[in-house]
Amino acid sequence: MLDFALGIMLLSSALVSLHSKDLMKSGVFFLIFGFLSGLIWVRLEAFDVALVEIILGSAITGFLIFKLVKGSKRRALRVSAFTKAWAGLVSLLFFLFMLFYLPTIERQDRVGRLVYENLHKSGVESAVNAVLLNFRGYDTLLEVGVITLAIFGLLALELKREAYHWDNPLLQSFSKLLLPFIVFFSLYITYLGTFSVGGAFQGGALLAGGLVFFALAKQSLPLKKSLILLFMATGLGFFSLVGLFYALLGYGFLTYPLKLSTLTLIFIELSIWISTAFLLYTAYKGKL
Amino acid sequence: MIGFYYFLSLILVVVSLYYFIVARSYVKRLISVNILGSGVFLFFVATAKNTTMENPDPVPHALVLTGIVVAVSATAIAVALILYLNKEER
Repeated sequence: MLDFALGIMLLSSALVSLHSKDLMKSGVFFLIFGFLSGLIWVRLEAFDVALVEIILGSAITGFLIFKLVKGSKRRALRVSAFTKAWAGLVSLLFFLFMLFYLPTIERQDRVGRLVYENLHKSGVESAVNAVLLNFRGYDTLLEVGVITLAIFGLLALELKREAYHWDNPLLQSFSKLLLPFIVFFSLYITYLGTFSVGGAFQGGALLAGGLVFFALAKQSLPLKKSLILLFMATGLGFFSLVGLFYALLGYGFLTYPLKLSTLTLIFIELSIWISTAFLLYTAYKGKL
Repeated sequence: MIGFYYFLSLILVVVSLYYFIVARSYVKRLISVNILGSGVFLFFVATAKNTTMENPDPVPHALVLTGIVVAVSATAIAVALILYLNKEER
């Protein structure tokens, strides 16, 4: 019953967000959509995903869209009746194809059992983090590379525009008060990733949320620009250096020796934690 | 229950695909791409639950986790590019 209620709310918020003429309204409904999808991940027992989705997928994407709405001119793109017709046809064909394909997906064990059987070899007790950092380390390394390149590309555009912010004295003092707690709590979430729900991206998302909250109150961090740049590059640099180091010792790229794997993975998690947080903070601010 | 989530993800993907092509402003197109991504993530997470084990499959969860982070950074660079486009036209 709860699933149906959440699903219908999710669908209606998505439809309002897509159909509304007012761009700010569709941004707000997109935020609501992100939060509701976070609740649905909890219903589907994907707690790590829920943590990241509510902070990144809902809040930070929402603020990026608000910034875009305030900054861009209202300029209508031309859409002809022919475009509408083929868009409708493509969507309808895709809908019909998937409608007949989806019921054929069987209830079966996929690679999950393999992960649980080899979990003791990974160095961490949390299955999601074992997959992220050890079994599919290449994916994570390249993903960190993608976000680093994306944000450095954004910096290369050299936009001078101020980020979206609120002028509220209450928010300003609260953001100063809350930031230390958010930093320590995100560090705790990152550490928790070795044996439970949590991990590098979850903690990094939480710290990014705290830093964006700080920037939303029009505060700036007392850090040098070069230090922020260093934090942004830490994740990619440290992760690939560790991979190369073990490759030179003869274990293979991104393969960790069993005795040292927990320690290595904790250091990799810390480097990804700090770089995710500062990359997404820079993504929100749009400049250093 | 899994069937309901599959159907929900299908509806989200189809509707946002249509609006991505016909929307008249860049903001709406960006929002539709994000909702399309959420629909695909919903399919992945529902498939992770569609197993005979007592715990859900961790591999799709890890994929979705990386997917969300990449989607946010892609949105950030899209926002910067659209703002740059506005600046150039002025």
